[in-house]
Amino acid sequence: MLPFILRRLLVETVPLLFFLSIFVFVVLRVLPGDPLRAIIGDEITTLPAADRLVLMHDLGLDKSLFLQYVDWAGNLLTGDWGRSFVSSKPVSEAIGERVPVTLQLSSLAWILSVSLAIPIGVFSALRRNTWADAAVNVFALMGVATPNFLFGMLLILVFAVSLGILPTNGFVSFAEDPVQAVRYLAMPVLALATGTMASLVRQTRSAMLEVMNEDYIRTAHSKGLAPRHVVIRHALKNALLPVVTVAGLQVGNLLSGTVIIETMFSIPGMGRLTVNAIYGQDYALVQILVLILAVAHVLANLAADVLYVRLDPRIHY
Amino acid sequence: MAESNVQTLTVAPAVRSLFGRTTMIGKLLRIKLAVFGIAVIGIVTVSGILAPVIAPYSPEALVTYRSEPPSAAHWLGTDELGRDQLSRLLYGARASLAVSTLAMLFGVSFGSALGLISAYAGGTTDTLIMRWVDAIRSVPGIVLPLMLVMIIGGSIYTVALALGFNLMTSIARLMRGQAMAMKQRDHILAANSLGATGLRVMLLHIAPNCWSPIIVAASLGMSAAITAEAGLSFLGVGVKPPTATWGQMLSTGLAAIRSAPWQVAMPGVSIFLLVLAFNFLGDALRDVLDPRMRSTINK
Repeated sequence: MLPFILRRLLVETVPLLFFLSIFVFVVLRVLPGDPLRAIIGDEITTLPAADRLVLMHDLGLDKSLFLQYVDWAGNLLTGDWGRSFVSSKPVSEAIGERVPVTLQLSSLAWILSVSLAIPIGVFSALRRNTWADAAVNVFALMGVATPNFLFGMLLILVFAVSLGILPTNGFVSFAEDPVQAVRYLAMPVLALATGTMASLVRQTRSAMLEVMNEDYIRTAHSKGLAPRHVVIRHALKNALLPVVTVAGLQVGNLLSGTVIIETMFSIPGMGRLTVNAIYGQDYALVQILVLILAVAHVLANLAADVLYVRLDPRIHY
Repeated sequence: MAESNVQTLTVAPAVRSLFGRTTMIGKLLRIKLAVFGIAVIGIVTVSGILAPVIAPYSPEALVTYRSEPPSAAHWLGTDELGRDQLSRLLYGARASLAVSTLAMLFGVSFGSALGLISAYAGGTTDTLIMRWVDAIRSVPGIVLPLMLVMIIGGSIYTVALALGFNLMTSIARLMRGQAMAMKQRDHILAANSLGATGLRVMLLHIAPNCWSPIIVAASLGMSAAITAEAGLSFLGVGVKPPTATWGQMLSTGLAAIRSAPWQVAMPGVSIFLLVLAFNFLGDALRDVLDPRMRSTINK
């Protein structure tokens, strides 16, 4: 297993990040947009040319694109992630304080969706063509089609505006006050989890239906095994294979979702930082954030593949 | 009399060849959810196109002094600047459809071309193209479009370009997979050994056999683009105001959700229905075009 993971990391992940870093770096610098505007605001139009050159020099923006990249990548590899153009805080610090927030939000959403979706999907498949199955299907279809911010708004309308029981803005860490943390995170986590949960329900259901028609399930039943045993040990274990892959892929959607949901609920996480950094044209911050989000996404997919190999004894690496 | 007989005789086969039980459209029209999807898409398209004719007010005219709830004069109420919500909704349909259609066309055409070239050329070209595609795909959904639109500015075209860029990478992967499988077939070997040029083999022998999954992906891509457009507007970097888009109506409505909840209701419902419609259409197309694939609707 270890050689497999190492090979994936070295042969796929590293080149991928290399290509991505070039892409983001070049796009941020080649496309129109003035990074100095982010720092000194609208006075940029009245800035004397000489001062402008000094400022560009301080930020290293007067070098050739290639040299800028080499400098930046070299520093990145030695642990110096640069300073934010706007706040001049070290990038690592600015991001470091945001990571735990997003991690709490997205992992809670992921755990919630996986732990609810699999039982619901199995239940629905076992009660195929009943009203319960139909209801699950309708809700799953609606869940897939509802953009997370729309669902977030619906939650705000119900729980904050009508019932007035949940706060709409802010974040409290679990370490500080678990009860308040649940109150603040309930709506964002639900808004984030619904889409993922809906597509996992559909995936689990169709995988279970497929597996339940297999010969070995009939054999297991005719051996007189308890139905519960057949479903869990024989059917679910095989049906979970495609579900694991989708659950890994959904991490990308969750991370993308945090960008909008964190902005919507004013949660100080990486998603909101990304929006603010892009808004403020803070190149130094944006390029690292994009890379970190990509790393998280890629590692989640790698984890899913590793789990897949563990679950399926037929696959060897 | 004889003349009309001739007419029915010539029309009937034409109708049957379009809508018959065995044709794609015929099969599609026998799936209830697909009909629902097509109907919703049709209604939205027509109201978008006819917006200048049927909208009661100009979408940018300030017709009341402040936000007003729905009334006889303003069926869906007015927003915080006093603009008629129904008119904005109709014009918004136009913007949302224009953005998502352009994004889809851009993504499908460039994505298919990249995928085809990658599969046909193989070797270093293939590796290079696919590395780029994978690198771009590794960034979670909305982040790159957000970055691109922020830098190049928000208009219907730039937003479409940014969203199409994302779609392009998934279409390229899909097309490459299809074309790789097709490349192994005997008819490609035959074409190659008859001396057909690379371009001819790609366009006439490989591409036509790869369209089914691309059409499905295009339909689902439309729903993703509508969602993403609304998401970008919501984050304040979409198509620039005062052009009405559904995402923008939602975003401005959210600020007043406590005092004027009617502002978010209709744009929200419209986005939901249109996304649902394209999802239904995509799923149905998958069932019709590729019977080997698992049905996700009727099973």
